[in-house]
Amino acid sequence: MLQRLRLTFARGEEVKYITHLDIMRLWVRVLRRARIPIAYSQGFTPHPQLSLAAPLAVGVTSEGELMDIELEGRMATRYFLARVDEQLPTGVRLLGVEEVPPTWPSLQAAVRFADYRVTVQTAEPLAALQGRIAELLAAPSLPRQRLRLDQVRRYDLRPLIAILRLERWDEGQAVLFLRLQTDERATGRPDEVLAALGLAEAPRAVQRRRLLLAPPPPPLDRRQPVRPSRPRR
Amino acid sequence: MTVDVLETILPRVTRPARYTGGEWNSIAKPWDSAAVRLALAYPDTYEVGIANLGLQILYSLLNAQPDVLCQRAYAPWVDMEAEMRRAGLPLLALESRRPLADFDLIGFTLPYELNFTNVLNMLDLAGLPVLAAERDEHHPLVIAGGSCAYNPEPLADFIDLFVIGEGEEVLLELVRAYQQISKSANHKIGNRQSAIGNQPGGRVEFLRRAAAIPGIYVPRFYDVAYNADGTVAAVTPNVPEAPARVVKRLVNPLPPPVTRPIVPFVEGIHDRGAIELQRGCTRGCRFCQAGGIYRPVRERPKEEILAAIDELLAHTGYEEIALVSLSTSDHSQIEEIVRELARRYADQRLAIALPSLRVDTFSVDLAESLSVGADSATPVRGRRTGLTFAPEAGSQRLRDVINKGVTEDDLLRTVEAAYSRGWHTVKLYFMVGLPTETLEDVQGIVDLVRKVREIGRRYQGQRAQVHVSVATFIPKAQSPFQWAAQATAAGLQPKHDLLRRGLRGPGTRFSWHDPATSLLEAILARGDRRLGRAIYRAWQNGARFDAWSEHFKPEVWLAALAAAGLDPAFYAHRPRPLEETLPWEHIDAGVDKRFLVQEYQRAQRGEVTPDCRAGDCAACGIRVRFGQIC
Repeated sequence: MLQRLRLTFARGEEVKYITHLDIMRLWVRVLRRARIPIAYSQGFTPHPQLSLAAPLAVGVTSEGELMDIELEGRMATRYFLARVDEQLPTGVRLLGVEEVPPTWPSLQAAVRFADYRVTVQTAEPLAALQGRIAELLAAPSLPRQRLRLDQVRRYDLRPLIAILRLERWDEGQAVLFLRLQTDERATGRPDEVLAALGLAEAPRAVQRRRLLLAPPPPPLDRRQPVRPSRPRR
Repeated sequence: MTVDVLETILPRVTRPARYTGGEWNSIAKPWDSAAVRLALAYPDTYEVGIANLGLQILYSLLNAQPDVLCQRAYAPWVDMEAEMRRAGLPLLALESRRPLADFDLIGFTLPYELNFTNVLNMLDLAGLPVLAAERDEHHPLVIAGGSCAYNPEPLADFIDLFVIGEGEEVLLELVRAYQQISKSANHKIGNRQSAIGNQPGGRVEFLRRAAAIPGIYVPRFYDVAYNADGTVAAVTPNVPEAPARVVKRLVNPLPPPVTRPIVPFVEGIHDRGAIELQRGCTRGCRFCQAGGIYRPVRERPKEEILAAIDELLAHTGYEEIALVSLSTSDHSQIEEIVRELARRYADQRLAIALPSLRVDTFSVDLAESLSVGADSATPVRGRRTGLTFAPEAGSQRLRDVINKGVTEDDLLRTVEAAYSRGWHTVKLYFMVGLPTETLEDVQGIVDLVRKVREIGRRYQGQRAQVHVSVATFIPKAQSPFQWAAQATAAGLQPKHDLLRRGLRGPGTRFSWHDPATSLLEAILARGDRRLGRAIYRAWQNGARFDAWSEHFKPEVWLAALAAAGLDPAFYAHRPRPLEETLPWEHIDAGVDKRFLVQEYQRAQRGEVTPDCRAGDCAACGIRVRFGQIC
């Protein structure tokens, strides 16, 4: 690998129904069209080296998706941005590109939380909704179950909710802010939080605002001489 | 309004991205910019339809006309259909999300008989009368083309006009004729209601004009008379514009290949770019409809192919490309093409697929130079998965009957080449129920597979695999076997048992087509107009997605046929006398009937007819009909 780039991109309404695998395929094609020299893995079936921080649920838009890609050659980020921008389908917007050290942990290992803004249609009065939110946050645990590949999975939703607050309330519509655990161990899902609030059937628009990463490791001090490795016994 | 309804539905259906469009290279022209608006409709799922090359060709061609707008619709899956009907949402075009009923023309691609009920269902979902006779000046014209149009009769009640043959030229002629007549009727752009003249009769007037365009078949302008025994007595035009025989259209030379195909977000059944190397095939397999209707062979020159692949990759970003043809190894420059591709893209991890390889060691050489599997490509320098070959029949006698110019020695040498050069898996395609077939011929499949497996063992040991896929032979219109009977379920049973017993054991996998599906396919493939009633009834009683085993309802079909007073055996299991007027007799695929008769008779005698590209002209009639282009 010669260069590792971290992309921040948005997924609008136009592409909110495409799956995680679809978006991976989409990016491979975008990068190939833009003639970006993506690195491929070794082995029998080489895979393009690109990885997303956390899958986005189908139906959710995002203003802050993160993806790392590895290149076989080096490229100025400005040039990269210009080339890739031309190849993006409507609905996908490239917000930024930065080079990150190859030694940093992978995005999947670094991601900690995801922030969501959820706009939900509900006839519920303000006080009732506030009461439910307070109740939910006060609960020591929120046992829930989810159907995954025809298997019922039981889990506790409560520890996955870092922040839940009502941002705005108009007659018939509430805007919630959610910060949910999103890491390699567990992923909090906005739909599950809504269900726990008794809003399972309410029409909603869910937008991921950003992904929060663990702080990167301290940079290596290049002035320090490289120490010879200690002989092993 | 409709868009909002769609938005409430989408979160509840499987794979909603099938219904939202916006794919790379899709074209959404402003609605009011076009004089004629056409929706291409594919009567199967998005995943199947998006992989259809014909639709991509027509989409790109029509949208290349500045004043023509062409958009798409695919058959909504059953969950989506239920939601649409509940919400009263009509079928929308992907690009504009406008109802299909707002278009001037709706064009169905008909690649497969078992999609027919989806045609009716899509018309109904579009809010249109399903029967052509019930549509008037206020409705779009419903047109159709594709290989099933070579026997258009079963759909004659539902389609206003069929395009026979290749659509590239005739579709534009049709659009221009439409434009002319709508202009003369003071058609205002942006208001389809006045498109073919709001005055009564505009539709019929247009259809008469269209009937005069070569390659256009307007079923309502033909009367069908039947004999007492149910066979067709005559098909007679009832207006002067309609020719007694509608001769297929073809384009020569082939127009440049599509290099900006729509790249789906959702994975299609073939998730790759495709370049048509050539059209047509002269091998002359007697069961094969494609071998007749796509004649003559027209090759694209090597340089055009290579340039098109460069462009296609630049415009799509695909990691895989298929070199498409009825017989890929038959292109006269295939070796150079493949060698050049391997050289050009060595560093770009491009997988190259070679579908339909001939049974010979040359094909293995080709595949080896790419290190690809025949139908499942792997990247250059990648792993060797499987190679697929189609000997079609198990005994030499029967292979001669069907004119599959392959000997046992050819096959064994080919698989030896494959296994010895590193492939673990060989896939073999066979058919059963072929004319004159006996149990010995079927036993021949078992024996042949055993020999193949032994060769595999010799080179690949326990890893060697043979996958055997056995289809039921279905006689198709416009092929030399169009007169042949389809085998009955009872006749097939012992053959199936024999194969199941014989093709088990380690390293052998055997799959078999459902005979009930094959029966319906056989009925629809060689049916007459009266089948329209059965199709209509089957659709009303819930038949759709008949090609999908989980939705195929044989009992609904049998009841529908019975209610229409039609006997399945009359269509499927009856050998048809050569002097019988076939229901598609007035549709002319360019191959002489005399040639088809001769081939059918030679089949009975087990005589082979060599490929005319290798030597003597077999006088199929194409040269006489279309000039010196074969």
